Amino acid sequence: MNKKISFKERVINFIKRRKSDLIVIGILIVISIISLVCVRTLFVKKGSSVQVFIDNKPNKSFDLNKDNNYLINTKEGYNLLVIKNGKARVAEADCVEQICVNTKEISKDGESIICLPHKVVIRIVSDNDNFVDAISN
Amino acid sequence: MAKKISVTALFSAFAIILSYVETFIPSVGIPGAKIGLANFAIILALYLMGAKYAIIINFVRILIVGFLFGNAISICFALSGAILSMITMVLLKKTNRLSIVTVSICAGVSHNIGQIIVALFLVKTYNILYYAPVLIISGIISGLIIGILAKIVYKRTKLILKKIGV
Repeated sequence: MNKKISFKERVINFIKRRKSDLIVIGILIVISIISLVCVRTLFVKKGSSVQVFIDNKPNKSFDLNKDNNYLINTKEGYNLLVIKNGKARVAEADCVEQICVNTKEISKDGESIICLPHKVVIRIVSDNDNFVDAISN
Repeated sequence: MAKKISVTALFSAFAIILSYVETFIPSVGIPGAKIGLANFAIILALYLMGAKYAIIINFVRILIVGFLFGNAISICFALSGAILSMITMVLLKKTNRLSIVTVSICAGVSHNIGQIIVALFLVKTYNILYYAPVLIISGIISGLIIGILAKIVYKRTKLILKKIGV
């Protein structure tokens, strides 16, 4: 009677024995994934202004909701910042790698475009600061 | 009866010391996420001695730890989590169809949900909900760890307690 149980049978036995457990844990995991998706879509704040930093110093600030073009002149070269339809991007630059030009347009709070050779950082900022972090520290 | 009382006291002491030990374990990655070591003692008491004693042990633990190391707000948070997780554990255990590990996972999740609810009332901003999914997931993970530990220890202590007649 000492029949060897194959791995597959063992797994099936386990699932049969622990059916209700697996259902409960499955439901919990589904709930957590759904809530994660909900939060990620609901809570992403739209930024309200675009700030330009050159060499870590604030240079200029623009309203994100107004279409605008601005030529950022630095010692090393230039970046052309274009704000259109509530989104900001770098349309043109004379840096070597063109990473800033290839970065996709930004509109959400905290997003940024960085041009390292020119030491330029373009960042989206929202007016109301993050209340959650202020409390939970 | 005397034996039950002394074992209850033993478990209370165990839960209190686990709460204290937990303050030495840094929360990795997620701010505020704790492993919930004290729940290990509570769930063991629930399975070994029954719901009534587990509830007593949990309340004793929260009050003593709160007065020793915490303040009014931390007692408030701990109580809310404990009440919700206690209800979940007792109800799920009554179904007799779930293993210790699953009960522990549900307890961990409901504990965190209880804390979110109190935070909603205290802070009065729905921004707290931003942390909800993170806390649910961390509840699942910590509940899993505690549940597996409790299952192993339960198997071994069950016989001992039966022998001394508790």
